[in-house]
Amino acid sequence: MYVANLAKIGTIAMVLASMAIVYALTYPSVRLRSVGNIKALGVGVYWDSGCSQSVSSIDWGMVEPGAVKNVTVYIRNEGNAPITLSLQTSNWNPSNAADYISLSWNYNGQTINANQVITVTLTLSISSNIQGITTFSFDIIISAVG
Amino acid sequence: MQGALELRRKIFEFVTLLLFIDFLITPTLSLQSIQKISASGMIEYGCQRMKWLRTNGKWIVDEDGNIVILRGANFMGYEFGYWSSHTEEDYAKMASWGFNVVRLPISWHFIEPEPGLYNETYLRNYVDKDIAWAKKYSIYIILDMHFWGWSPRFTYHGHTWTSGLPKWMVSAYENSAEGVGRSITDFWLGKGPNGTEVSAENPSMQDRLIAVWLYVLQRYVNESAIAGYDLFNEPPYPSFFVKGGLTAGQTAAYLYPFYNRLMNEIRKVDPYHILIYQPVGGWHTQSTQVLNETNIVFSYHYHLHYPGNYSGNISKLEADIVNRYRDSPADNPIKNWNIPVLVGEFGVELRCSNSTLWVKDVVTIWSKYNLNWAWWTYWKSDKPDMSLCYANGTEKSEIVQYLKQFP
Repeated sequence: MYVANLAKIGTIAMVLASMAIVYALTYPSVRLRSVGNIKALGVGVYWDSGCSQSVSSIDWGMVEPGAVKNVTVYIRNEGNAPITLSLQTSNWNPSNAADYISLSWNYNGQTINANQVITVTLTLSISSNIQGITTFSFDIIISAVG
Repeated sequence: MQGALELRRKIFEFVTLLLFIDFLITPTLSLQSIQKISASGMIEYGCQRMKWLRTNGKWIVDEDGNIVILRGANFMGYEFGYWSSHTEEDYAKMASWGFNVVRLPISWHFIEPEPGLYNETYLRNYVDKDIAWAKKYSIYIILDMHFWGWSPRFTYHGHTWTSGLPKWMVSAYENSAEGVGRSITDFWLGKGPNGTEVSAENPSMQDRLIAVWLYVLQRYVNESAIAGYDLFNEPPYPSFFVKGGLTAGQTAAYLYPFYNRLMNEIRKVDPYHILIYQPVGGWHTQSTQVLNETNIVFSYHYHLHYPGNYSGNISKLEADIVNRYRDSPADNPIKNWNIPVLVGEFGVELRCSNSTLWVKDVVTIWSKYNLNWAWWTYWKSDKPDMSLCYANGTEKSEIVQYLKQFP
């Protein structure tokens, strides 16, 4: 029984070793990391450069067909590793509002270091062809990847 | 037994080594953090875009370079919480008089009812509505951060119409003239709410006002119907309330650095709109100062309250107005500064003697010097005050006849 268990452990160890070799071959560009560092990502969006007023919602107010409206926010890397950002929208209400309204920003993909604050302008563009929509809402998703 | 133990130890070491190798060779994980922000708005159909205004020397000009002299009225109400006091008909009426500007007072205490919590509803339900009406009638809006009574916290003087600092910011001061004076002193000295020490977590009252302005500006940064932002209505000085407090001249030493900081922060967000600034008190002669900024307008106020009266001597009136800032010639914005001047508030109570003549003569003087002006105030009241309409909406023609821009 004891010997059988030992044999099982040996098999598992061999499998693990094989996996490690395959793993290493599969990721030829792997790099060694500092042992003991824990990478935490976080991003905060604020109204002010001092990062004291958090942005939880943006009310674009009244916007005209064909209009472009800007809002400036300050984004801080609140983790301990460099990040890059991406922007998405979701939960459009009414759902066809997304056909006429778009959101973009002037963030150019640069890396943001820990605690660095960057100024970003969010731009809402309304199509001049918009019809039948009087109010709209959506979620802005800002993702930090590191 | 010994051999088995040795084998187990070796296996343990081997597995540990494998795990360590695995840890070392694992590629950097792609972690992700997500921030979700809700967004909303309204589509406004059929409105005209107003031409952007800016300053050019002593003039306000539109984006085609045409001179625009702003003439209109304040429209009070939203700074005091009179939510249903404004209608589209009011804007139609002012447009029929030829007014091209409405100075719209707003109040900090409605915008930031709790520390750091901003009330979008205030702007969306009221300010936005007025901007839309104004645009419909080709009227520009000046947003005015109003401080009548300093804060609704202070009711000792019996006023129920008060605006300004949020109550929570000054709740520790006593409800008296001394309390007002002390809180104003602390504001200018850069203290935190209720006179607390400033820290990273506890910004000064001044910094909180800057943050509130930035919040407002972000909303309207692309709104060309806003002619400008009147940054601080009638900045108060403590000695007005308490003996021994900072005088107007001493307060100026704090006011102008604050304006510089505020304007610098605003320009990072909004390089477009005209910024309007007032001297201490809105009128005080000891505090005029040209700011080293662009696209700015100097503004002061000129009222005649009961029981004051007007002698009917327009020459004396003109001398008082034009030489009001006469401490030194260089301090005279009307004569010697190369930036536009806005009389952001002027008005006379109808019960003052020669009140209608005062209106006629003052408007004549404004025209002579090409000053921009806004009457205080468009309002409906049967009292012999400064309101431009009776309670039923009929215009007070004895005043309005001199303000109308059309024959």
